[in-house]
Amino acid sequence: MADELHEAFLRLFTRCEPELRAFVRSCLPRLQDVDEVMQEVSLVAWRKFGDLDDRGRFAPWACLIARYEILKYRRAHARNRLLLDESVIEALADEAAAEMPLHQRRLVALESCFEKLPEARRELVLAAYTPGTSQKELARQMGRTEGALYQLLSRIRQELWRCVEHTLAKEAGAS
Amino acid sequence: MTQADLDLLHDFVADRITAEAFPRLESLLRASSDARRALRGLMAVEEGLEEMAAAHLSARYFGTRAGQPQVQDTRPKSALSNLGDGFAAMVGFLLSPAGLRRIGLPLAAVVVGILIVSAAWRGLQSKARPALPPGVLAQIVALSDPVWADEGQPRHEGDRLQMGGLLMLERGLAEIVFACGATVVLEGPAMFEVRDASTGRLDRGRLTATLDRPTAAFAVHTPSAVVTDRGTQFGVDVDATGKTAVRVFQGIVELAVLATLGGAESLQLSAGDAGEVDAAGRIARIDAVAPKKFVMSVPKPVKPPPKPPLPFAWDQTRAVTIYRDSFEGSGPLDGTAATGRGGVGEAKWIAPADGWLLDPETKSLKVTATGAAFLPFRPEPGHLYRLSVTMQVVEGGIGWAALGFSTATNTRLATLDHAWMLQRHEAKAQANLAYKGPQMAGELSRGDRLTGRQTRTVVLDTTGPRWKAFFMVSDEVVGQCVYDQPPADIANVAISVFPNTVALLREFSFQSIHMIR
Repeated sequence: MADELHEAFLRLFTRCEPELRAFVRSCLPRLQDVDEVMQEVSLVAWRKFGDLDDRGRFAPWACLIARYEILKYRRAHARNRLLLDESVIEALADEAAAEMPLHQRRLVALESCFEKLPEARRELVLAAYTPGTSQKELARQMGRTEGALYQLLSRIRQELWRCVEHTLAKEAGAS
Repeated sequence: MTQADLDLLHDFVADRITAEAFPRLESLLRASSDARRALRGLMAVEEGLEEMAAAHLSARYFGTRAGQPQVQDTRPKSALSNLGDGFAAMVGFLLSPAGLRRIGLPLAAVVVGILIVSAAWRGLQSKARPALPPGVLAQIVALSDPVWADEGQPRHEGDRLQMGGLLMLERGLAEIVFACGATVVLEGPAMFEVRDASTGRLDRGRLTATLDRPTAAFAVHTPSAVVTDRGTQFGVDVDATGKTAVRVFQGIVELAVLATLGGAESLQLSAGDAGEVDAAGRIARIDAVAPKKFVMSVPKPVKPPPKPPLPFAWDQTRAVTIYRDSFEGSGPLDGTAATGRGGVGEAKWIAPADGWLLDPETKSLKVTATGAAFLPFRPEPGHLYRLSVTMQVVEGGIGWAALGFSTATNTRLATLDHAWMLQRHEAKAQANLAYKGPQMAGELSRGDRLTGRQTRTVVLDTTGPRWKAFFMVSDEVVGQCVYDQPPADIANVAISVFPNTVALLREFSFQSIHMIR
């Protein structure tokens, strides 16, 4: 029985974890903050999983837990960090919860947008995002300043964001 | 939304926003739903690119894209996120670089552990057992607290049973699988014999038989009857007189009087029916077999609950060894470096000259004198440091050995300064204590049942503005603490031993992970 519970939890959590993480991240941009909150979310969700009557509602239920944990985290760390005001987090959380199903489509669209980038830019992005890469070292290898590299990556990210939004809008128009 | 607004959002996403610009960002997000949507979109781009880079790296090193599924999924297809429902895909994803980063190492470890345990558990419980090897009529597949009769042969899980194989079970349960596919759960006291691949004989005691192949047949002979089953589940009880009682749980069973008793009568029993044949060969339907319930399955051993995830994200693949020493070898510890004994690290031990000897006989650092040994080290922000040693206190009563961080290098004192833990020789109360420090201030926790030879670990987390320390015995966290101000005076890692105590120390290890990108 306990095994079934574990497995059911893991399947549900693993399935909605990307959306949940995106949800948390939309309120807390720092990876470390996200990791800490996600760890708490996973533990709280697991502890309370037995009380969840309708497993079909796992994602919104976990989202509620995440929202509470984000606010808790904010209260604990707001003195030391640049963390958004609670009212802003509430607004972001409301909309992010409603947008959770969109996350998958965003990632699919991002893949095709990424493929449209010139090869050199794709390589640059992959290099910049490879775990352990130092932006400073990458800039040095490219013969640019760190600031110039940041600006270039910023343009690429914004370009990708526009492409994704455009793709989603086109999909919405077509359906 | 202006380009300046977008740049502001981007700076926030990239964690480059300044304190001066932050109020403007908050105003923008408070006022504009477009800005909030753009923020979510930019975050998704950021996360997606991280995933792609991790997948790309995985492809370079492992020849596959991280988390790439081999299963059908009705969701929109994305190599980034399409994980599917398959167990292998899930484990593969969790162990991939992207998976580890997404879900975090501690949770991934727990998740994978639970998945593997669950899968193994399901496998054990599956009714669709693999066929027995050719020539084997039956096999014992599970036992529960068995006590075997003196005159019988002790049996073990996995024993293969040939024709005439006898089980004389005084107490407990035994589960036997027959080559025909039948499963018998025997409940002691009972005497049961394997006759062939589809027949057993129950001379006394109780059994439950299950046959889930409708094309097969299985029979149980008793001193008074033959019970024949074709794809069903039933219980048989044979008492000391040889009377046979049968109860059918599922399907149909034929209960016949044994031919040697001169009878040719039989009863067809359906689910819920019961019947009996007495020692004289009289057959009848009955209401109930016995007050006691039949045992349908052998209970599986109770597994310990899964361990909670560690409260820090230790990823061994990213760990850098600062110092490692097996403590195998000979000579005094004072003045030695790990290099040359299979370890790394050039720092040399500052230790008492006597009584701190590397002992080839016990292959350990054998400490017979009070004091402490130090390795110079200064922690830096942004790291996880993991300090561990395998420790066994072999003499000393309330005396103890300890591990942790220190400021001074007084080799005569056993008390350390910061984030340290001790184990006493006596396995009574306070066998394990941890201290936040300084010295013995900030007593944290006890793990009094965690005695004997165990690996003690202290993890110092300097990644946040408030440093944390975690104390572990083997894999169990026994205490943790938070420092309001970083203990900036740490200058060593240390091990120590209390007066009149003898300790054996092995496998010293000190590692770090730089957590800030």
